[in-house]
Amino acid sequence: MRHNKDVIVPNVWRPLPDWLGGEQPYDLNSWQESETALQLARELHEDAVIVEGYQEYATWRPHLAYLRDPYGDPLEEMDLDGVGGVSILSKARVFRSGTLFPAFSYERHAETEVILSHYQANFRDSGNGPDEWDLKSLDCLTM
Amino acid sequence: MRKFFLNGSISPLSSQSNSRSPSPVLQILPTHRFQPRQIHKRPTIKWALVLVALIAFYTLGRVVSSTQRPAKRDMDDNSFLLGEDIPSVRFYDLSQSTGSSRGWERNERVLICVPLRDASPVLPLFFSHMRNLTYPHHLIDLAFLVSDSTDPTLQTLLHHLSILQQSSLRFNQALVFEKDFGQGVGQAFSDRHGFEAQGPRRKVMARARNWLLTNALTAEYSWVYWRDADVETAPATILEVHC
Repeated sequence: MRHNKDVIVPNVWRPLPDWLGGEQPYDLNSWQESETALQLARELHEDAVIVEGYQEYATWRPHLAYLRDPYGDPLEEMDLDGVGGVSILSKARVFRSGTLFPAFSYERHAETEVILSHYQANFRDSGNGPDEWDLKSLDCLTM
Repeated sequence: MRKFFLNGSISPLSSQSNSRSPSPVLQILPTHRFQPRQIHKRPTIKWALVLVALIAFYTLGRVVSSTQRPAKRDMDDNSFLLGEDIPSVRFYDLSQSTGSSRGWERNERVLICVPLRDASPVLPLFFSHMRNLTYPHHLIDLAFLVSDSTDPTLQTLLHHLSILQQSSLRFNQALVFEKDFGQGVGQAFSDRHGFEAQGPRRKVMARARNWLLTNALTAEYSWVYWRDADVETAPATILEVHC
């Protein structure tokens, strides 16, 4: 709320036993778009859904979760193009504008990862684009 | 015309009140005779009638007040902007509730949406997170969607809600929806995160999120916060400070 962004998500990690390194980047759905992924999306069938973190779809996107700096400023921001659904704070106007979670393949993605581009599409004509931001070093741990 | 009595005085009244001298003779008047106690009418019936009348008045008053109950006062909208407060007409100026960085000071309301599926084991932890939220609880509404659960998620949820909402940490209100979307994918970690399951699973999740959102999002809210129930640790100040 203090960042006053339309959509904002924290960095989400998953705790692991110490012998596995202690923690694992969990929410790979928060990413910046990459040229490789755009190329991949162009090649895939229109019903396909690209998901992150699987070798079948090598997108080479910068993921929020891997960019975490444990000693970084928790208020540091980072631009994102897709978000994961673990913890999203968004302004109600995002959804009032008609933005939904696509339950179909939208630009080769589904659900939370494309609410941003869906939102942008809603605003494409109005001129004032939305922000999607993420907090680089804030931690949420998930199970 | 005078009446003379046995004692020679002119009249019993004059003998007592006028002469003021005690009469030497015992007067025996008819009224001094033994008279059997009069059988009084029992007061029970009278009081019963009064009671019935009171009850009748009370019931009548209740009926009248319920039929002629004044329209709900619209204190929570901006009807006064129309120039007058028209009962049953609500006016919302959503440009005033777009959400700002000072939401808490401006009484901006938050809708927390939580999709749940087989979430019984994680609910105690989730509710402890909710109780710890530092954003003013009276500005927060909770909306839950329970879908495709094989464990007693709904019962556990209602149990925790009944405790929370009767405590001092209660939220403004809690909405619970139950709808199945026919998820073909299991909720175990390996099921949820297998590659093949991802596409269909994400699409069903999207339908569930849309369903919950369109049912819960009303005009009062400035913010929507999506939160998974299985988050293990998160800052209690996540709403107002960290996001």
